[in-house]
Amino acid sequence: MIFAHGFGCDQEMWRFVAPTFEPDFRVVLFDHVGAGGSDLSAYDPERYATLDGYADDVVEICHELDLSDAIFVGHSVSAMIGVLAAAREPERIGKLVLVGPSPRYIDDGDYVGGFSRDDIEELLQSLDSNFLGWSSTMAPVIMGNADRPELGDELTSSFCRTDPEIAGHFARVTFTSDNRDDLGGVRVPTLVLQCSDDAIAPRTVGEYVHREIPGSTFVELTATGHCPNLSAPRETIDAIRAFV
Amino acid sequence: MGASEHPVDSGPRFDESAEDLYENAPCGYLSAAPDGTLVRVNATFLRWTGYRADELVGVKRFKDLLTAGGRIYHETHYAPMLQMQGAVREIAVDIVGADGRRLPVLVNSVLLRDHAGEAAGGPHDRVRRDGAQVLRARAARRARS
Repeated sequence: MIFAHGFGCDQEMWRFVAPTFEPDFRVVLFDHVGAGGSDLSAYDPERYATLDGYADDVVEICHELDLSDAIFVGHSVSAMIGVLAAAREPERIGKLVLVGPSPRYIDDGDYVGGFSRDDIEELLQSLDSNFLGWSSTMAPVIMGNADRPELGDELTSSFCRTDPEIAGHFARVTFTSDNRDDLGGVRVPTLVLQCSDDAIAPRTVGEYVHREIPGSTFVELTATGHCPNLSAPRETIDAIRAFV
Repeated sequence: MGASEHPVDSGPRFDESAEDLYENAPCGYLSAAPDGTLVRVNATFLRWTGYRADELVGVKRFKDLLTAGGRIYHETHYAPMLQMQGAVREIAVDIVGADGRRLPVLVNSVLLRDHAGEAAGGPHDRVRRDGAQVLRARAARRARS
């Protein structure tokens, strides 16, 4: 079972979900190149100019660990990375769980992705302005955390912190991607997990993904927001379990 | 209540001055329920943004007041950090005021919880289990220009 994190943070996003599958599955966690504890020197803007570069990495992980019939659980942009990887290696990836998927974020004709090009530019500005002060003001970020002893200092000081240039590039690649034509090529059993009230991947987008992927299952969670793996791990676990 | 009403001869009145300090602090204060719905907003914030309290409290969430780009940032960075760390500091976002004007602010947030967390539970989960009053998972946000 491979858990892939989305844009923004790293594999710690699966902290409350992945461990519960460990007794029954071989659980594989990784950081995308450019995120979390990955080797930043391996980041090549050309390789990662589209989501295909990230899908290549997933395929490589499958080969390296000699996985077959793996369940790929992809959050956010990693849902589409999983779609691309599964199309390439259907015998390696046997099932897809897409958490908050969106094949295209920007509106296009009749298709409503939820965002305009200007919105995406705003996000990039927002990233820029926040990363400027990142190193100086974010360092002693831990406060009032005594009730969460499971979260170590190492995590809290590094979670969601990425190289600003890489984050900007990843944001642009993510939010300008268009993978609508790839959905029809999915041949493996697929679960679409839709959150209620998700500003990034609204219900209509999840329904679109469900419609375009032949034979897929659609489950709407009561969890709100875009990160049910953090906000409602129990419900997320149950939905994944019922499918796998 | 109000900044101009300070009776000189009635001695220190801590309740009132604490209230006044909250309402007219040099920063905006917002408190939200675990589902994000705003439950209290101070006068400074209303003054800056041009909203009336009844347009925000019980109606909007903090992220509804951000630009679309800011909302993505909120979902992908801010909310995960707040849930994992219990606090987020000095995040730069634009708040969209009642007239559509943008107010650049720095946001600091604290997630308040009452009792020791369990390893496999996010705040929303525990809210359903324990009830909102027990958990008091209230996010107090301090926005300042």
